[in-house]
This record gives sequence, C-alpha cells and structure tokens, in this order.
Amino acid sequence: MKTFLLFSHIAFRNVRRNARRSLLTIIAIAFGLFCLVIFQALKVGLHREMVISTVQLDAGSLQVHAAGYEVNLAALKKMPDPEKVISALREQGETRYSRRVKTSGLILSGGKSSSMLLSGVDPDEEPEVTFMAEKIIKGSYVSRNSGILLGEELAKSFGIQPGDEVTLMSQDMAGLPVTKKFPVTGLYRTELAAFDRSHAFMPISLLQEFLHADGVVTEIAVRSDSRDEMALADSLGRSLPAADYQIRTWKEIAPDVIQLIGLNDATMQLLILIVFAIIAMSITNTMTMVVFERFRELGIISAIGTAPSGILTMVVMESFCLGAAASLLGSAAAVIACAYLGKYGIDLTTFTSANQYFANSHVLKAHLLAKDLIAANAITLITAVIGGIYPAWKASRLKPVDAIAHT
Amino acid sequence: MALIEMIGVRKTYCTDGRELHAFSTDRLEIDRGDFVCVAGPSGSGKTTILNLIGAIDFPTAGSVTVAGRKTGGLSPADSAKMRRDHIGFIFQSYNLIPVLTAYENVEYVLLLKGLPAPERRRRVSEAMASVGLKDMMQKLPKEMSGGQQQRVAVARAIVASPPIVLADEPTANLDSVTGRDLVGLLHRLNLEQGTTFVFSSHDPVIIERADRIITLQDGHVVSDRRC
Repeated sequence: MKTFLLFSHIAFRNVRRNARRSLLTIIAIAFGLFCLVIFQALKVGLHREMVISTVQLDAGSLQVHAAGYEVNLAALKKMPDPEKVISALREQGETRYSRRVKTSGLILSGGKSSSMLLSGVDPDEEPEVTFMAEKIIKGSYVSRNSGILLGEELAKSFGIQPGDEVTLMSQDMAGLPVTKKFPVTGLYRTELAAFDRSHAFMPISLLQEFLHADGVVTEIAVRSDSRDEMALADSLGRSLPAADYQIRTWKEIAPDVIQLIGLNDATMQLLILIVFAIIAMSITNTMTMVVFERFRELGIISAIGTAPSGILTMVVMESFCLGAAASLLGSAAAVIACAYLGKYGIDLTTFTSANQYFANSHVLKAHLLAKDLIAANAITLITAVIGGIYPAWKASRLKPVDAIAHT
Repeated sequence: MALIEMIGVRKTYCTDGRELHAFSTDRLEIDRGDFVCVAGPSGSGKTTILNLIGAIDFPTAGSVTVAGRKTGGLSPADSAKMRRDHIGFIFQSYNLIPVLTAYENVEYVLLLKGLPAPERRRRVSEAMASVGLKDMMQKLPKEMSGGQQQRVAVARAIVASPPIVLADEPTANLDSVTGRDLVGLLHRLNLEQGTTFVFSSHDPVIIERADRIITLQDGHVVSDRRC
C-alpha cells in the first residue's frame, strides 16, 4: 500500500512535470468525454420525446381491445365488458385510463371532403392519458354532448372555424352508412401536421349515438408513467382472459419507435467505441513519449530496487491521473452544457416538422442521467488505464543497464 | 566467504553482429569493508564490472555471487529485490528522481523496503545529516547544485545500510574541491559503518584514498593491489 501511494505520488507529480503536454492530453480526452456525455444526453432526450409523442399523442402506455381486434376501423369491434377492464385496472392501482370508440369516416364541408379517423373520447378520462387537451388553439376541448374537435391544418384547408358545422359520414354497428352534421367546438394543433389533418375527436357519447352503438367501447387506453408497461400488461393478462381481451403495449403498437431507439443506441455504441479508441490512442501516444523521454530515469529507478511491477504501476497511474483530470474537466463542462440544453434545447423544427416522433415538441432537450455520466467517466478512466498499459509494460521491461547507458 | 565473488566471468556484447569483449576474470573477490577503486582508461570495463556486481547486468559466462547469492538466473523482480536489499548505487550524473524532494529521494528506498514511517524519518534525517544536507531536505533536485545532488545520491545509497555501495565515477561531474569532500565523506562512512565501497574511477583523489586498487585494461584485470 505504501509503495502504491509512493508510485501514485510520483505519477501525480509527473503529470505536472510537463504541464503543457499533460494539459493538451487532458483537454483532448475531456473533449471526447464531453461530446459523448452531450450526445448521450441528447439521445436520451430524443428518445423521451419519441416515447412521449407515441404514448401521449394517442397510444397510451398500453391499450386493451376485444380479442381479435384489428386496425380495421371500418367495422367496430365491441369490447365484451369494459367495466371488467376498468375493475382490473383499479385492482392494479391504475387510475389513468380512457374509454374510446374509434372508427373511420369522411368529413365534408363546403364541397370539400377528407377521410378521417374519428375518436370518441371521454372528456374527463382522455386528458389523463393524452396531451390533446393541452393542444387546443381555438375554441374548447370536447365536453359532454359538444361537437367535433378538428386539427388546425384540416380546418384551414376547409376554411372552417369553431362554431361552424361539418358533415360526418361513417358506418354504424350494422355496417349501414350514417350521416350527420356536427358543430366544430375547437381546433387543436400538435407538432405533427399529418396527424392534425387526419384525426378528429368528439365526445364518446356523441359518437356512440351517431354510430347507433349505445354503450359500445372499442378501446381502453391506459397511461402508467411509474410502472413498466410490460409488467402491467402481464398483470392485467392474469385478470382478463385472452379469449376475450387483447392487450398491447405501446411498444407493440409502435414497434418502429423501439426499432429506431435500438438503432440510435447501436449508433451511439459505435460512436463510443470510436471516441474511446481515440482517447486510448491519445493516452498511449503521450505515455509512450513519456517513457522514451524518461528512459534513463526509469533505468535508475529500476537500478535502486524498484520491481518491474512498481514501474508498471507508476506509468499506469500517470495515465490514470491524466484520465481522472480529463474526467473532472469533461464532466464539469458536460454538466453545464447539459443544464443549458436541458433548459433551452435545440430547435429542430426545420428537420422534424413532418416527423411523427416529434408530435409534442420540435425542441430537442438534453436529459442527462446520472448513470450515463458515471458510465462515461468509468469508461474514460478504464480507457486511460488501458491506454497506459502498453507503454507501462514497455517501461517495466527496460533493462536497467541499457536504460542507464541511454543518453 | 568474500562478500563479492566473480568466478570465471566473461562478459561480451554483440554490436552490429560483432562480439565485443567487455570484461573477463578468472577469479575476483571483494571482502566486507573494502574501499575498492576499479581504475583504468575509458572502455577498459570499469562500468561493466560494477554493473555485474550490481545485478543490473549479467555475465555471459561464469558466476557473480553477491552476499552469498548468485546473480545469474534471477528474474527481473528478484534482481530488483537483491539490489534493494544489498546494494546502494551512486551514479556519475546524480540521477535523482526529479519530481521528488531530496528527503523523498532518500526515503524512496526505505518505502520500497516497507519500513514504518518513524523509522524512515529517523534514517532519512541521519543520512541527510551525514552528508551535511539536513537543511536542504525539502529542495527539489533542480534547486540544488551538482555537488549537493551527488550528496543526496550518497544519502540515498547509504540510507538503507546496504552492505555494498557501488559508485560509478561519482566525482566525474564535480569540481575538485567538491569531489574531494565527497570522497572524504564516503571514506568516513566506510570507516564508521563498515560499508563496502566499490568505485569505478580514474580520479586520483579516489585512487589515493582507496585501500585496494583493481586496474583494468581492455577488459582484463592487469593489477590488483592493496594500499
């Protein structure tokens, strides 16, 4: 232990010995660490935004449908006993759910028409699951027996305002066509124009009445922020027989999001590998120079009785000191930058205005996780040590007689 | 048994495919307490003989025994331990560890030996006092003159009380007065502590103080006389 402290002490002082070179090495490593932490924090922020856009736009954490439900919205698939699902959810302590009826239809106004996805939602329950109630820009959100809520994009192309009337066409429970006029109660705007053009919302009671589907529910969306949706789905599956109910998490509903997150993670891992290979080379380069410069000195240290393992420790500790200093510097800079980017973010509107993963916001905010910062620092230190091993090994194998004769 | 024994030793180096004879002897013994000067012109094998005794180089043939232990066949770790336990080194150009203070340079060897802190403090103080540098203990090598640095090197060589101190031209980089003082110091330590000193030098100051002079020429012992 004493000798370890001695070698650490010498290593620390050696770092200060050639201050300029050490500083340049430290800055290079710190910059690598800084970039990685920032990229990782932005990636986490991006993934959070993608999940929020998926879960809170419409999907929820999971959805319960009748068994055999398919996204064939022309034919309503009635859920057998919605109250049984609600009871099962309450037993699990879940209170944020929304009963829905979904169907497709045609909206007509002033000689124009557009196919739509019609969602009948409970005005009290839906805001617990999605952020749609927060996206109202004109008029008001759906309320009991009010009219229809349209996207701003669609309303603009139709030239209609809250208070105007539109005609809806769809198929009722029996598959017969139904047509009715509804007042427009409000306009919403998400950050996804394609969604806004194709989705309309109305009170569930109004849609049930329109479709001659009194009491029918086709979907119950659940939002659970505190619990893993797979675990919740498993628990619910024990209460709801698979013969009657179909439970799908948002990951099953939107596998593209999971794949994209996986792709981002893989890209990030490749980036980490590249950056740390550069860090390792930087350390190896610096420490190799150090060993060659101190050839004679290391020979003397060996001659006066230092074992090869001691010399190896001394050089590796010097690399570690460089890595530790870089960790401190890089982490401090990254934390400050992440705090800024977490508050103000980067406006990506130009690149994401038509991207389904940015329905909530086009501002990408960094989200730094403590575990990511710790991991980046741990990898930096390990890389610094690994980078120092080769020159340290070379130093430990010096023959003192050759080293002392070296000029 | 002599403290140092060299039997049938031959040392050759290979340079550019050519074998270069550096040193050979049929038998050479150095006793405990000797104050020996290995003299001879440059390239005569003075440094080679010290390297062989100091286990930082090994014979091509024959055996070198130091304090009852053969140096040949030792692993790098074992030869380091042997040097740590039995030998103190003084080099021509001081060779202190530049990032350590004088005190720390001297203490280094004791730390390697694992001595406790109070014992280290006592020994370092004594060693620094014996070389007359007690007030320079916190100086870095670059803050000291050549003579002072060489005295710190002497303190480092003797602090662990090794039975043998090897000094390779210790006065070569010193002025004559400082060199004379240093040799006087080493001689005093030899007399007081019974430490065996083996020098390589052609400095008359050392030669006149030595009680045994081994003269080398072209890698061979041409004379070995006690004074």
